Amino acid sequence: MENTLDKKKNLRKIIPYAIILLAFLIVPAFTGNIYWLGVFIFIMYQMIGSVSLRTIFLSGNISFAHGSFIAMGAYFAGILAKDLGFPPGVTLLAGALFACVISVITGFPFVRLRGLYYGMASLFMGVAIIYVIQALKVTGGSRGLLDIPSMFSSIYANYYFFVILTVVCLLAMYRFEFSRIGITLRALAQSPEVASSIGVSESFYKLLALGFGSFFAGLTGAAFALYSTVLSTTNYGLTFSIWLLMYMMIGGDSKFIGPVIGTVIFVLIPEIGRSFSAYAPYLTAAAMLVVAYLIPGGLAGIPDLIRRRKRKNKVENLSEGGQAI
Amino acid sequence: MSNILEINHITIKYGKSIAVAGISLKIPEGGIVTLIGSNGAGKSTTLNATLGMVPLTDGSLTFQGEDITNISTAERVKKGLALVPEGRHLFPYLSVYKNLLLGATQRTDKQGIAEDLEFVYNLFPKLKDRSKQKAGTLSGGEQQMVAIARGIMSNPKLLCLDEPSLGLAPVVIEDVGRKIKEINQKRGTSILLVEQNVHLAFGVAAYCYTLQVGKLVAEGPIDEIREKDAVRKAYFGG
Repeated sequence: MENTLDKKKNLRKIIPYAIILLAFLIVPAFTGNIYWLGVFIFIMYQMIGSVSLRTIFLSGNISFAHGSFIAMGAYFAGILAKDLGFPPGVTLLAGALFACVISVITGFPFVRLRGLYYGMASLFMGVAIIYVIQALKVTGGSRGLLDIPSMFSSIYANYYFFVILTVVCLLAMYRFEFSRIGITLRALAQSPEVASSIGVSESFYKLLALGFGSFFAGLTGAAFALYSTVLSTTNYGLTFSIWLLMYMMIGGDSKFIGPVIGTVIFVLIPEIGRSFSAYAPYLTAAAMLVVAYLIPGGLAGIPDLIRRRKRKNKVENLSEGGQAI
Repeated sequence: MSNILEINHITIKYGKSIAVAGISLKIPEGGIVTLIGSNGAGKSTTLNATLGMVPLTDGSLTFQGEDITNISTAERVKKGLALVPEGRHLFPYLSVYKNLLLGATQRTDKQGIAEDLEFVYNLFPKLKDRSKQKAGTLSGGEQQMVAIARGIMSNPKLLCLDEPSLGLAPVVIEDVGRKIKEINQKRGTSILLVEQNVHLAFGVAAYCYTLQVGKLVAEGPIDEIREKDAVRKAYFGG
């Protein structure tokens, strides 16, 4: 009987997934190959971005500005660290909060828009933010922000820091999704009209989702800035936002694990196929088409698909045998 | 007896067409009032305006002596108004339990929420069995129960029901009528019932308003209104 939102039970349920993920993320540490450590940091950085995009998506809004919010966290943290010499702990949090606050302020006029219209508004917002970053002097303009003091000098330290950050962020967002707020967001996505008829304030909850998602976007951006020490707006344009959406869609937007799987696969494909790197984009495109045509629920929807097939087969067998009763 | 809700001369327009023209309703504290009328009479519009989902062109609303004409739907729900929308409108992909919990969005008292959950499970025992099932997979009657139960979960002082009989079998409608009375008696919740089904409306309510094309044509205690010609005309067309 599901009489309470059993948080402990929910958390216990994800322990095996968490262990698998952790084991997977730890793998490159044993290979001793520094290149793969970098790849995995890149995966984790985008994973947090993609999962945090999904918390916004939960409320029914598709955002094309997420890459720009990551950029804001990155640049704000980078500038604080470089020009003002703040310690990493402060800059990380400041980057996250900055992205959160700006997303809520800029989102406020558009948050009542729904579906595609919100998507359009966020697209312009995202592009505008990148232009602003390019136009400012303090961000280094289109030359980029260089020589940011790095958080840790050793790549191993950076790597383990990202593993911890990923686990903490994913846990926080998981709890958010299965809290009462998360349920309310899903209700909003299913029917904004009905939700407001029972007293859910659409604007408030959508802004809450936007702010929460952007906080983690800013955090991962800031962490990556302090790791890479170099920022360039070309890495954060519209394409980046679309990639994050892709990870989520292909991985499966109905499941929490979706964007996690999507990010891993789509960062790894071009890496593994490096020997024939000219074909990597085609490989990626082919994988996308296969998923879009054959697995509508995304990669995370495969278990459901198999279960449904099995049930269907059972029914068919029964009717063929003519002894359904 | 004081009135929990007073609707004062409200007019509602959709573009240029007038949906509701200057009607006034009074719902006494702890009472059951019904608003009847045929299709397009403006019943649902009146309810939606009461909840603040349709803007008023003219007139005002007073809830528990307080003017609520200009506050948002969310605030009205917080003050104790609840709507069970027409055609049930659940969240089909969420479980019954989560649908119910969503009714309590505006509440923070965990104890009270648990008690009310207990109450609706006792009122509709079937929902307890199906609490984990997705709401979209339930039968029409069960979905109506979820909708009513979700309304109760906000612990309203006034529960507005929009055609709960819609698309239900006669036996189920009778059951819905009994449950509405039970809610009123056990919780002291005032009820505004919008209906096309006169048998259900007359069986449950104590007082009746009759709407015809946006205007009130008759009102009075059920026993009186039953005999009136205006109702027959508004309703049965002759």
